[in-house]
Amino acid sequence: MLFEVKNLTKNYNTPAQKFCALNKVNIQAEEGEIIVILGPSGSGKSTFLNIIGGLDTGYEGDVIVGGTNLRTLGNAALCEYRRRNIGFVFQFYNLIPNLTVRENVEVCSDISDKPLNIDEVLAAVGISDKSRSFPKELSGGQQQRVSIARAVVKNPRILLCDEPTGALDYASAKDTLKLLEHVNRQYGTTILIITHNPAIADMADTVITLRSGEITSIRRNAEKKQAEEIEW
Amino acid sequence: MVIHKKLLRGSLSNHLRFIGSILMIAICVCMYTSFASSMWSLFYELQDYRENCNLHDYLLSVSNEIDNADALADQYGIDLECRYYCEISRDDGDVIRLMSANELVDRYVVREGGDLSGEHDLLLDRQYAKANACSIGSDFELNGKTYTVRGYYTEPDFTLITNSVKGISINHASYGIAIASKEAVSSLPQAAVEYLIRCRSDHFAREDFLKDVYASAMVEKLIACESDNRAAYIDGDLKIYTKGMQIIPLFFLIVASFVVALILSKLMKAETVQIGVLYAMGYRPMDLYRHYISYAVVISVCGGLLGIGSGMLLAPVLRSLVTERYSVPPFRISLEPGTAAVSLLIPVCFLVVLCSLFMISRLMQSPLTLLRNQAAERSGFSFRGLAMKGASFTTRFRTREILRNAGRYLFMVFGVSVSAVMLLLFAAVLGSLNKMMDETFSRIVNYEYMYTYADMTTGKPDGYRTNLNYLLLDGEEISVNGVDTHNTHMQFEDTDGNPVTFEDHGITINLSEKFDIHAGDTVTLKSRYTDAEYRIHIDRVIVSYAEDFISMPLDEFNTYFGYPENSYLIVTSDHALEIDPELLLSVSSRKNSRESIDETLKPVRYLMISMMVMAALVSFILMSIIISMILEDSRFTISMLKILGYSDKRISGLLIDFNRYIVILAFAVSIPLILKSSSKIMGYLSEMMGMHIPTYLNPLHAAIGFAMLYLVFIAVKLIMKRKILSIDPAETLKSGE
Ligand SMILES: Nc1ncnc2c1ncn2[C@@H]1O[C@H](COP(=O)(O)OP(=O)(O)OP(=O)(O)O)[C@@H](O)[C@H]1O
Ligand SMILES: [Mg+2]
Repeated sequence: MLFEVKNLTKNYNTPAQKFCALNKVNIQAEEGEIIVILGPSGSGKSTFLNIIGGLDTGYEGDVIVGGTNLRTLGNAALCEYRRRNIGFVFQFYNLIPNLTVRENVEVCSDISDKPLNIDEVLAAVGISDKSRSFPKELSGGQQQRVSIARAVVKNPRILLCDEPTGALDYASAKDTLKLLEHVNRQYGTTILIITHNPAIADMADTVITLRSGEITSIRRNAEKKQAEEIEW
Repeated sequence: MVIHKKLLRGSLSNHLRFIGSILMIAICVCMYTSFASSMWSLFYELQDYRENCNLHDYLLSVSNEIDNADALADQYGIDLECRYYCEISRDDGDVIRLMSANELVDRYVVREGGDLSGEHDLLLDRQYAKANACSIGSDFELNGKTYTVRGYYTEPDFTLITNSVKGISINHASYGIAIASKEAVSSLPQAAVEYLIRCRSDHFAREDFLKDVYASAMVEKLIACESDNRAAYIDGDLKIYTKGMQIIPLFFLIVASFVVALILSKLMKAETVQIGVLYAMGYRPMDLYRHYISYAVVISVCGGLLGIGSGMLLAPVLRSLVTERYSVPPFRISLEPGTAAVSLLIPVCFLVVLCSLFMISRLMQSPLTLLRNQAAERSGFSFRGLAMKGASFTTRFRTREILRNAGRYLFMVFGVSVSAVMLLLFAAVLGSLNKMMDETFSRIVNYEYMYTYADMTTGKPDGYRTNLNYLLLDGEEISVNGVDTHNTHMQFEDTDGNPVTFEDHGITINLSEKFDIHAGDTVTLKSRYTDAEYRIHIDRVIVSYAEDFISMPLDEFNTYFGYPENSYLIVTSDHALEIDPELLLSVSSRKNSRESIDETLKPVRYLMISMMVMAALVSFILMSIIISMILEDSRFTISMLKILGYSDKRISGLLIDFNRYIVILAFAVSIPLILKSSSKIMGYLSEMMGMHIPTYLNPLHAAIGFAMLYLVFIAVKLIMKRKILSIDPAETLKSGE
C-alpha cells in the first residue's frame, strides 16, 4: 500500500465562519495506480491533493505515505518529503520563463538523488525538438508537456496533477492524458489526477468523487480504458 | 545549479536596474577605496618619515643662542639642535626662508639631485623650484649672493610651507624654503635663531627647562609640534580624509543597499508563484535564499571590484590633492589587503544583511500562499475609501499611483533628500569658505603690506603698529596684541556688530568660545618664564575668522608689560615702506595672502564640487531605478492606456511628471536639515582647521544645487519616456500578466 488517509478533516477558520473543506475522508491507494478525483468546484479536491503533496498542514486525521505519517513532519521534513516523493503538474504549467525547456526540466532533476535521464524524459513527452525554446515560445499543450517532464524527471513516487487538462483543447488534453498514462506504465509512478471532466475517470484504476468535503463514492474500474479510447 | 541561470537572464533583461545597482555600489566603493588607500598610505609613510627624520616635539624661539645648550640637552634628556634662519625677499618679490641644515632634529631628506657640499650650495623645496623653474645645478640669487641649487629636499617640520606656525596660506610660486650649511646661514647678519627639541622620553620638565634657558636668552615662544601648522596641519586634513570622507561613501552605500534590497524584494514579488512551484517541487527555503542572495552577492562583488579598480585609478588624483599642497615624501599608493577586504566586505555585508531581512519575510510564507499568489495582492491603502469627488481624472490617477507605490515614493523622497543634503552640505562648506575669504579680505584686512620685525623696535612709522606678547591661559599659549587705537587697517566687528576701534580690551570669538570668556570677565594670564601674573578685563568679543588674540591699546600694552614706550613688532601700511630688509623677519602683502589662501582652499573647493557631482549622480541612479521599477509594475496599465488611445506624452505626464514634486519636496526637506547640521559640521571643521568659519549657505549655491537635482530629474524623465515608448501593448497582453 502506497498511501493511506484516515479520518482526514480540514477546517478553515475564517473570522466570518468555520468552514469544513474536508470531512472525515478515508482513502487507500496502491503503488502504480492512476487515481482520478472528481467533484464540483469547491468540493475540496485541491485541498486533498495539497495535503497528500505535503504542501498543506493543519488538518486532523492521518495521512500515511510510504509508512510515514505526514502529520508528524515539520516544515523541513515535509520539504524533504516533497523532494523525494512528489511531482506536481499544475493547471497553468507555471514554468520558469527565464529558463529554456531543458533547463526547466533540469531545475527539478538537480534536486533529485535518483533523477531520470533528461533527454529521455524530453523524448518521452515528445518535446525534444523544442528543448532550447523558452516557455513563451510554446503553445499551452507544449508547456504542459514540459511541466509533466519536469515533474517526472525527479522520478517521484506520486505524481499530483491538479486539472492538468483544464486549460487545453481536446487534442492537447488527449495528448497529455496519453503522456500521463505512458509515464505511469513506464516508470510505475502513482498518479492522482483532479479533473472536472468525468470522461477522464475511465482511464483510472480508482475514481474518487468528492462533494462538500466528503467522499460520496470510491469506485474501482474493473476495466480501465486506454487514454486513446476516451472521448468527450 | 541551473536555477542560477534564471537570475542571470532576468538581470540581463532588466539590465538598467542591474547595472544601476552595480554602479551605485561601485561609486561608493570607489570613493571609499580611493580615500582609504591613498590616505592611509600617506598616513603610514608620514609616520615613518617623521620617525626617521626625528621630527621635533617643540620649537623654541629665542633672542640669541643659548650658552650651555649641550649641557641642557643632557640634563633634560632631549635632542636639542640650533637652527639659523631668515626670510629673504628676492628681486621678483618672492620670499625664501633660508635655514641652516639640521643634523639631529628635523633632518632633511634629499629627494632629487645631490647633497650640500660647500658654503654656496643650497637645497630648495621642490614646489617652489617647480613653480619658478629652478633646475638642479642652476644659480640662485639670494641677498646679492649666488648659490648653486644642488637638489630638492623635504624636511618633516615643513610639510606645509608657510611663513608662520599659525599660517595656513601657501603660495608655492612666491614663498619657498631652502637650506644651506650651518656656517653659511649663521654668518648672515639678519639670521635669527631657534631651537628644535625632540624629547627622548615622555618626561620633559618643560617649565624648568625654559627657566634655565631664560638665564642666557630671551625666550620668545615655545610651540608644541601639534600647534605648529607647518608640521602638523596635514594631520587635520588626513583626519578628515581618512575618517570623515569614508563616512560619506558608507552613507551612500546604505542607500544603495536599500535600493538593491528593494529590487530584490520586487523581483521576488514578481516571482511569487515561481517560488511556490519550486517549494512544491522540494526546493528548500535555504536553496531559494541562496539563489536570491546570490543576486545581491554578485552585485556587491561586481560593484566592489569595479569600485576598487576605479578607486585605485582615482587614488593618484587624490594623492596629487595632497602633494600639490603639502611637501611630503613621494608616497606610493598600495592597496592594503585590509582596505581591499573592507571595500569588498562592506558592500557585501550591507547588501546581504539588508536583502536577507527583505527576503526572509517573503520566504517564510507557506508554499500554498505563494502558489495562490495571495501575497502579491496589494492590500495597503483602501483606494475605494478615497472618493475624490470632483477631482480630475489626472489627479485621481496620480493620487492612486502615489498611494499604490507609497513605500517606494517615500524611499525616493528619502534618497533624494539624502543626496540633496549632501549637495547642500558641500555647497554650504563652499559658501562658508568663500564668505570667510570675502569677509577677511574685503573688510577686515584693510592694509596692503605687513612688516614683521625680527626684534622689537620703537618709533612712530608711517602706518599702524602692533606689539605682541605670548602668555599662558590655562596652560595654553595665546597671543596678546597691543594695537594702535583707531587702527583702520584691521576692521573687525564685535559680536554685536559694532566696529572694533581697539580702545578697550577684546578677545577673539574662537578663544571666547574655547575658554568660555565673555565680555565683562577678567582673564588671568601667566608668564611662561617668570612668576608674573597679568589680569585683563575683557570688554568685548571680536569676530575674527583666522586669528586668535586678546587685544588692548598699544600704549597701555607697553606700559603694562614693561616694554619701552612706542615699541612694536609689526607695522601695517597701505603703501610699501622702506625698511632695511635685514631688520625684518617677514613681509606680506594683502594680494599675496589672498592668493595664497585661495591656493590653499583650491583642493577643498574641487573636492566639494566633485562631491556635489557624486551626490547628483547617486540621486540620478536612485531616481532611475525606482521610477523604472514603478513603470515596470505599471506595464499593464500603460498598455491599457495605449490601447485606449492615450498618447505617449499624456501617459508619461500621468506617470512621471509628478515626480518633479518629489524632487522639490526632497529639496525642501533638506534645507532646514542642512541649516541645522552644517553649523555643527562647520564647527567641527573650524576646530580642526583652527579657524572660526561662519556658517553660510549661499542662495546661489543652493540654487545651483537645486538646478543640478532638477536636471538630474529631467534626464531621468527623458530616459523613462523612452522606456514608456518601448512598451508594446500587444506583447504585454500576450504575456497575460
Ligand atoms: N485558505 C482558505 N481559506 C478559507 N477557505 C478556503 C481556503 N482555501 C480553500 N478554501 C475553501 O475550501 C473549499 C475547497 O477548496 P478547494 O480548492 O479544495 O476546492 P476544489 O475542489 O479544488 O475546487 P476547484 O475545482 O474550483 O478547484 C472551498 O470552498 C474554498 O472556498
Ligand atoms: Mg482546485
